[in-house]
Amino acid sequence: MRRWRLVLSSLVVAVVVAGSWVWWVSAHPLRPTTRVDGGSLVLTDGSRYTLTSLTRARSLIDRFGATLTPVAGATFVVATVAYDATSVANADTYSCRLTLWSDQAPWSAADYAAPQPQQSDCRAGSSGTVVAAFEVPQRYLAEVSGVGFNDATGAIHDVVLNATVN
Amino acid sequence: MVSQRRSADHTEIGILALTRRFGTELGALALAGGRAWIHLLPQLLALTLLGWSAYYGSVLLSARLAVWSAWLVIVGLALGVTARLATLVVSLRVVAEHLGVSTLLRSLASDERIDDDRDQSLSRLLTITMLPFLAVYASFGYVNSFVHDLAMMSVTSIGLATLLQDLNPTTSTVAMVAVGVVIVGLFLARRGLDRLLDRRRTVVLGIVAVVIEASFLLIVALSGFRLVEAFQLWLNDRAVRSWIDTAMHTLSQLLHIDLPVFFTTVWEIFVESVWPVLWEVISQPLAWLALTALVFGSRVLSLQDLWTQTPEQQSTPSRLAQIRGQLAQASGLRRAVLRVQDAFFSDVDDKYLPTWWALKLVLRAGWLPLAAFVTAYNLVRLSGEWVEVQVLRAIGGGSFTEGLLLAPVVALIPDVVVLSAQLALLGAAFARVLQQRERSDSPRTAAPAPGDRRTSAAEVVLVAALLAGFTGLSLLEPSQSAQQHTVAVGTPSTLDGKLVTVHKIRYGDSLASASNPELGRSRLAFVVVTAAVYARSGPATTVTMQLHNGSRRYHSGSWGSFGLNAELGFQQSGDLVFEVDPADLSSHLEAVMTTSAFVTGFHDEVHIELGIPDSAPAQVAGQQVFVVAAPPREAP
Repeated sequence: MRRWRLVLSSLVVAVVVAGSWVWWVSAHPLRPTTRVDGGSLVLTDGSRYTLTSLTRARSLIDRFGATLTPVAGATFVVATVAYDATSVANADTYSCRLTLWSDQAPWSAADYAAPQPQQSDCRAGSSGTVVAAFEVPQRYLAEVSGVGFNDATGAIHDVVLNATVN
Repeated sequence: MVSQRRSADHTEIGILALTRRFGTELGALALAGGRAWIHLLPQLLALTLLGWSAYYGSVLLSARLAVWSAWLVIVGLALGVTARLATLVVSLRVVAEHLGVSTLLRSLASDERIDDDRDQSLSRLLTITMLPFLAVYASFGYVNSFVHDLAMMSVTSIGLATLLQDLNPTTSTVAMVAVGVVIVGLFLARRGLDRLLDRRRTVVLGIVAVVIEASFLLIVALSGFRLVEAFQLWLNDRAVRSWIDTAMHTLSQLLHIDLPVFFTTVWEIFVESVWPVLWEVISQPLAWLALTALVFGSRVLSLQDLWTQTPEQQSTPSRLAQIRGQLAQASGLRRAVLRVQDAFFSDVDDKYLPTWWALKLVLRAGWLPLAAFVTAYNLVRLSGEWVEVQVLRAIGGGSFTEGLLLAPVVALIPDVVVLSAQLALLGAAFARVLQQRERSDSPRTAAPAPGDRRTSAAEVVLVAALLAGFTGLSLLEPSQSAQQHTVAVGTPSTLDGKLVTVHKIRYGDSLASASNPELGRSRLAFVVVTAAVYARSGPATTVTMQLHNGSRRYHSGSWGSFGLNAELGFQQSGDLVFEVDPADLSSHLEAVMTTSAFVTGFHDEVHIELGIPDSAPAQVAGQQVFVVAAPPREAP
């Protein structure tokens, strides 16, 4: 009877430790992100961003009049963001490099210069509208879950504004 | 001639007889160990499971504490090591009691037996035996495993670099002083506790002493090696280093031997073949057997000493006793020096002398029972490692997070199942050691017969065969790359959650591309491998490739892609270009694909048999290969 009590106790302890292990690993992914709802956010450097739209497009026309088409099996997702970087003083380190996120991983922005007056990059000390395009495989379109911003001065660098493609 | 043939015949008979005895010994040991394991399976599995929980619980605790301070990690890990060793000591006690070791010990010497209070309570046993266990445990790399697992956990919380940086004494003078103060402080705390324990020995104080000792060892492991490293780097910049190099070069020219290559070759043979045999295959099981003996005390050796010596022949007082005698009468600087010696030798008394005495006891059992035990122990260990590798291959690799989640589950194989079997085997082996002692102590044991030179020759042959067998055992160690898939050209394979495929191979002596018709030319041979990576899941990671032929390795050059990287849902293909020796263009040339991620959960590799014919070198000359370095990605 004593040995079975020992077995039971050790099983209970093992289950507790295993559960704690799973919880810790799940709570600390290799590339942690902060998820924000509500359509807008403020980063630690004081810059503000509001997601105006997140739409899909079969092709794009850039500011030089060239037509961009995605590779076969993919589509473009265009993120339009209103930004306010007037309180950002250090222009050398500031950039609003946008990424598009699923629950698994991000996609980086395509090499796309939006037609004026829209911008493709943010400028420190100013405000405006920035547009970024992302090439996304069709079969992963439903997994798009947000637009990411680089919070270089924060503890967690990837801050994601939750959103889905319209 | 006739006498030589007769001697050879006798040697052969001796070898056969010894081999039969070895087989009998091995079989008896396996049977005793197996029976003990099956009979005690619930207790052994429960205790080893508690040890497993203690280990992973302490890694978890330390990862949490590291967020506040790297130094708190030491305490967390020390608690885990202590708890784990406690379960090992208790398990050995359970096995030894089942096998009747206490009765055997009592029968070895009845009247002169000194009662040892380690038999009275388990807590007393832990207090006495923990320190020697800790010393041997650390020397076989188990502490390094703690450090490695903590580092992997810390990658996802504070960052690996942060943890190691905080405990790196070479970053600044303040850090060096801080680490030094902590190490000295722990050493003094241990000595202070020794004095308390001398006056009032309690379980709590004993365990605290062990935790402090474990903390001392861990801090040396985590940060102390940096000091050695810094010294080596400092030495490399000194003039004496260039003098040594010049002397080696001059000597090489005089002797017509490339001394650096010679020493490197000798060192490689020693590190890759000799040392693994000596250390892991032979020394480790013997050290564990000596520690098993320690559970029941090195007092057994004292009994032997008493059996053979009269009181007048008692050994002279130990070095420590001499120092303590002198300390009572010394003053000033001499007193301070003697105190340091006292501290050092009491450490030797606590940790190393009891282990040394226990090792001597074990070694006196004779080489045949020990060889049988070493063989059985390593067979159990290798079987467990083989099962572990098969499980990892069945899992098939994955991301870093998946690897971290599965690590404790996979560790159940070596840390619970295999360890429980090894503990049963240790108890059975120790019982046989005592039985051997009982037989050799008996007055009726016959003296060795004359003319036993043939037995010695047979022993030498059998020992040589066993050493060769042990060397073979060490070479049978499962590959570090547990997830090692071998596929043919055109067959997809998984790598870190991605799907990789080598589509085609071409070779020639010149390269061309769409933008550059004279991309490259070589007197050797170019091998162009067209490969693709499809990221079905997870973040993008760069997949790289090497070409292997035997021990020779080739890396991709700048004429094509260095590696392949695909974002989620995309397939990226490219041509990787290698410049190789035409002699290596053969059917033995294979491609090996790995990820270049800084931290990985699994050792994942894909080997691709390129199927290059042995006649390929003749086809290289004048052959131009077209290269497409970075074709557009696709979305399958």
